Amino acid sequence: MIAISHLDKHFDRLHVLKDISLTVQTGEVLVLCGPSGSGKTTLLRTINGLESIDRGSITVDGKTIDPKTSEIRALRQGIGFVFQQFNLFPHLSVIDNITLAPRKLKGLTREAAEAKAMQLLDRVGLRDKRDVHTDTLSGGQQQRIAIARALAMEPPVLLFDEPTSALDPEMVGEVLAVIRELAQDGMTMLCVTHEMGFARDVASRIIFMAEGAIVEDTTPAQFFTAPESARARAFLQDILGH
Amino acid sequence: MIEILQEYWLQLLIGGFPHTPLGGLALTLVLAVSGLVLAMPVGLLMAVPLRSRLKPVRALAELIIFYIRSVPLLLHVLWVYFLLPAALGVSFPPAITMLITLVLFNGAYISKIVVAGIDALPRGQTEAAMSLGFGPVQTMRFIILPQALRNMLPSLVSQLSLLIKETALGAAIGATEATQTFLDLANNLPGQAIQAYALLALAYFALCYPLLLLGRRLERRGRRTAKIALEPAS
Ligand SMILES: Nc1ncnc2c1ncn2[C@@H]1O[C@H](COP(=O)(O)OP(=O)(O)O)[C@@H](O)[C@H]1O
Ligand SMILES: [Mg+2]
Repeated sequence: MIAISHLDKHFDRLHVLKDISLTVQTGEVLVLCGPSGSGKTTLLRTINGLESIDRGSITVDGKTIDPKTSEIRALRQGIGFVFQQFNLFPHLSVIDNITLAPRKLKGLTREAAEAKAMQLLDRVGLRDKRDVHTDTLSGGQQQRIAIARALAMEPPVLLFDEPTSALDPEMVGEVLAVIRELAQDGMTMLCVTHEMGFARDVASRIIFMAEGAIVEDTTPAQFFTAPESARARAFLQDILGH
Repeated sequence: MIEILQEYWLQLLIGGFPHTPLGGLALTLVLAVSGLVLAMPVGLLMAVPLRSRLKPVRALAELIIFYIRSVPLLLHVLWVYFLLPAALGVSFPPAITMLITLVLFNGAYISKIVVAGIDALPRGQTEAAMSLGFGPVQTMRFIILPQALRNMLPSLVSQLSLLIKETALGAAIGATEATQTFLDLANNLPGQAIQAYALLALAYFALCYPLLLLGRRLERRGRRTAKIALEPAS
C-alpha cells in the first residue's frame, strides 16, 4: 500500500530523515513514536507530499508521491491527514467543513455530500453539532470533526500526527476511541502518538524513530517487553515514567 | 450657519442636479463608495504579483505599488487628468477622472491589506486544504480569501473614511464634489466664508465619525474571534 525506499531529507544543513525504508500493507496500523525532533512529523508530511524529499522514493498504491507534479492533488485525496492542531476551517460550519472537499473535488451534490457527512458525524458521535461554528467546540470535538473531514474523501490511508497531544487530558479518550474504531474497521493508518496504551492495543507494528532514522520496526509485544535498542529503552522509561 | 443651510441645503447635498451632473455631498459619497467597491477587485489583482513565486515579478510589483503609495494623491490626480486623455484621445468628465485615480491609488493600498490578511492566517489552513486535495487556486478561493476578507473588514472601513477625504482633491480638477461645492458657495457669499468652511468640516466629520466607530467595533469583534480560534483546546 505504502512503500518508502531509501528516503533522505534535509532542512538546509539538518539531515532530518536518514535512509528511511518502510512498507505498509493494506489494513495495517503503524504507530510511530520517538523523541521530539526525531523526524516523525516530517516523515508523515512527506507521505502526503506536504514536504519534498531529496533522495529515495515514496509510492502509495504504486503511484509516486512528488509534490512538484500536478498528480499530487489527486493522490492527496486518497491520503487523509489529521493534524495535531486540528486545522478546521473557522469560517465554515461543522457540516460545511466536512462537505467542502467532496463537493468541490469529487463533484458530489450538496444533498449527497451532507448525507455522507451525517453518517460520519454519527460515527464520531457529533450528530447534534451539524450546524454549529467550529470555534464553539471543545478540542476533542474539533479533532473528531477533523477526522470526519478527512474521512469524507474516503481515503484508503489515514495519517495522524499526534492527534491527541494538543488536547486536555480528559478529551484524549474520546478521540482515541474514534481512531480505535477505524482500526477495527480495517483502515490503513499511520499514527504518530505517545499514547502507549493505545499503541499496545491498536498497533500492528511499532516504528521507533530517533535522530531521523528508524531504529526499531517491531510488534507492540516485542517493543513494550523487550526493546532491542538502548535508545528505545530510554524512551520507554521516560514516557512510561519508571 | 443655519441661514446658509436653510438657503442652500439642496445645493450642498446634490449640487446643481438634475440640471448639472450630480455634485455636492452626494457626489463625494458616490465617489468614495464606488471607488472602494472598484478598488477591491483591483487590489486583489495587484496582490497576485505581490505573492508571486518569481522574485523579479514580486520586486516589480512592489516597486510599482511603492511608487503609487509614495507620490501625493494630488499628483496622481493631475497625471490621470492630463495624461489619460492624451494617451487615449478621449477626455473624461472630472468626476470620472477622480474615480479612476481613487481606484488605482486605493487598489495599491488594498493590495497590501490583502497580502497582510492572507499572511496573517495560520499556515495550517493552507496545509489542511492541500491535504484534502485542493489546488492552490481552490485553496485561495474556498479557504484563504473568505477568511482574509473577513479579517480585512475593519481596515476596509477605515479605508472608506480615507476615500471620503481623498475625494476633496476633486476640487483641483473641477469635480463638483462637496469641497468644490462649498468653495463655490463661499465665493458667492462674501463675508461668510468661515461659516461655509465650518459647515464643510462638520459634513466630513459627520460622514467619517460613524465609520471610525464602526471600524473599531469590527476590530474588537475580530480580535475576539481570533482569540477563540487560537485557544481551541479548552
Ligand atoms: N520546516 C522546517 N524547517 C526547518 N527545520 C525543520 C522544519 N520542520 C521541522 N524541522 C526540524 O526537523 C527536525 C524534525 O522535526 P519533526 O519532524 O517535527 O520531528 P518530530 O515530529 O519527531 O518531533 C527538528 O529538529 C525540527 O526542528
Ligand atoms: Mg511532531
